[in-house]
Amino acid sequence: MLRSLSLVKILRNCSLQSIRYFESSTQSSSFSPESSANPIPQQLPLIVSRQLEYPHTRYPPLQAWLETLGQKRDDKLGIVDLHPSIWQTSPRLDILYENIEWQKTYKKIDWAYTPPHHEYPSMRGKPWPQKGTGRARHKSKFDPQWKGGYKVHGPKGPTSFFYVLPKEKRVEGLCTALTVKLHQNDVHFVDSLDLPTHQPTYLQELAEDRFWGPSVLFVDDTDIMPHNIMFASAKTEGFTLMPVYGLNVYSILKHTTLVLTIRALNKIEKKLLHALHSCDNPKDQPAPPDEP
Amino acid sequence: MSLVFQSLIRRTPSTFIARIPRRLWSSSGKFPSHPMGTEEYENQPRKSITELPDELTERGTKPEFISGYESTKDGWDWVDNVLFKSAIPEPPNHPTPSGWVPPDPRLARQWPYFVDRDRFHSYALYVRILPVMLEYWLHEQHRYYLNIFRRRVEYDIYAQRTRRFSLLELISGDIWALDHDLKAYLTKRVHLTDDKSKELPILSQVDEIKRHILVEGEYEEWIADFLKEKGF
Repeated sequence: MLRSLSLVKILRNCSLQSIRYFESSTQSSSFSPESSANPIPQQLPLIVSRQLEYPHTRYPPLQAWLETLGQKRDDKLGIVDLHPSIWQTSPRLDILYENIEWQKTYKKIDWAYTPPHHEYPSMRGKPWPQKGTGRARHKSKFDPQWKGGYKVHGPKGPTSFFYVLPKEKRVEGLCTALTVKLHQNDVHFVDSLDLPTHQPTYLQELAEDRFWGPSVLFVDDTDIMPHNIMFASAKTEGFTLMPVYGLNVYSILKHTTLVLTIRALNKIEKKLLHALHSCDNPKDQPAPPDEP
Repeated sequence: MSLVFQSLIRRTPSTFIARIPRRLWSSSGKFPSHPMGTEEYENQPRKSITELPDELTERGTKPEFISGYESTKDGWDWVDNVLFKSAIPEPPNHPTPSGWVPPDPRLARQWPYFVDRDRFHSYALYVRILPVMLEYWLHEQHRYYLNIFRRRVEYDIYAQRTRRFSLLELISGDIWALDHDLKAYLTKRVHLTDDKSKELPILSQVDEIKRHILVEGEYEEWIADFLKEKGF
């Protein structure tokens, strides 16, 4: 791709014009039903130079390929900049584990219930007289030592295991999951989720050709997805569509491949960076100054 | 409801109780004992607390306004000053009188490790206090780990039988090189001060997964000086 263009041409093409064309094409075509994918611009490669907030003091931005789903051939459209605070963290495996355990446990309700002694029908009293019969002495038929008797300190009622993991741990878990996926070559960035056809075989063959693994998670910024990918992924086992607000550590690790659109990437980075660089809990804050 | 009646209800099985509808029984025998149990009261439009008669509010006196008020939109700055803001302001690029020093990226880039600042632009340097394992009986030895709850730790701090550590977090790069350099710096510093209370050798624990270094002893100011020297 790069060999056909000279350096001057690349610098000229990386002007604002090409980026504006790219951005306008994605915005106009995301809601078009049953239309062919936007034609790939003639001036390639596109370097989508994104402005990164809160630049890291030590590490420069990472770079990844920008791909497309519009055609089966794996032509790269350009390069994307990624923020090192999210995509190059030291992987905290303990926090990943805590996130997954939280996601599994907070929905759990234990319905086990053993009625205590006052909920048993023991109004009658002694089963047989104290003395005379050769049997052991008993007060009621439902004491704990009897078969079918009550349980003294058994499970009582529905118990919930609900808890909310602290925000810093959830944010760090997401950053670690994304880092791990990126450095294992399982993340792909895509201009948009527009497909030329609604046939599921198109998407399946595309994923097979690009070695995208049995399960793929497509993430877009809104929950309204284009028609074609909706039909294609509904019929395919393992392909999941997800908006940005549904992103979670369990799904990222469960699906083999993660496919993000550029708009989803912008939203995720903005949210995570704001969470990493602001403080919601006023507990340890110093007192505000007297004068405004 | 009388106590005997309450205990009877508790002891009968739930099927028996369900047949009796629950009512508010009054001591005089009249039903209902309070107008709040009736449907006509519940369906009335709710009044504000200042309009309700005295017998239906918790306190005996009706709240009264002492003086009138007027609402303005001036002076928003004073209100804004008191509100909590989640955005953290950017610090200046020069050292401040309090002793805060901005990081020097040019100087920090040469080392094989990097110590990041936290979101408040300060060093991720903390004190950790753990209780000392007392001479428990053999069958109580597991209690040491159970005793690291807040109250026990506070009592041990009061009784001055504690182990104190300095914790350095947010490390990336070669942790073991940082550990080696840190220990060399601290031993040199201890030799300079010639303090008998500081013990040598300086012991530290490196956690590669959590990316932190735990140094035994309270060396926080010296570790801060070390970080300032390196430009982190």
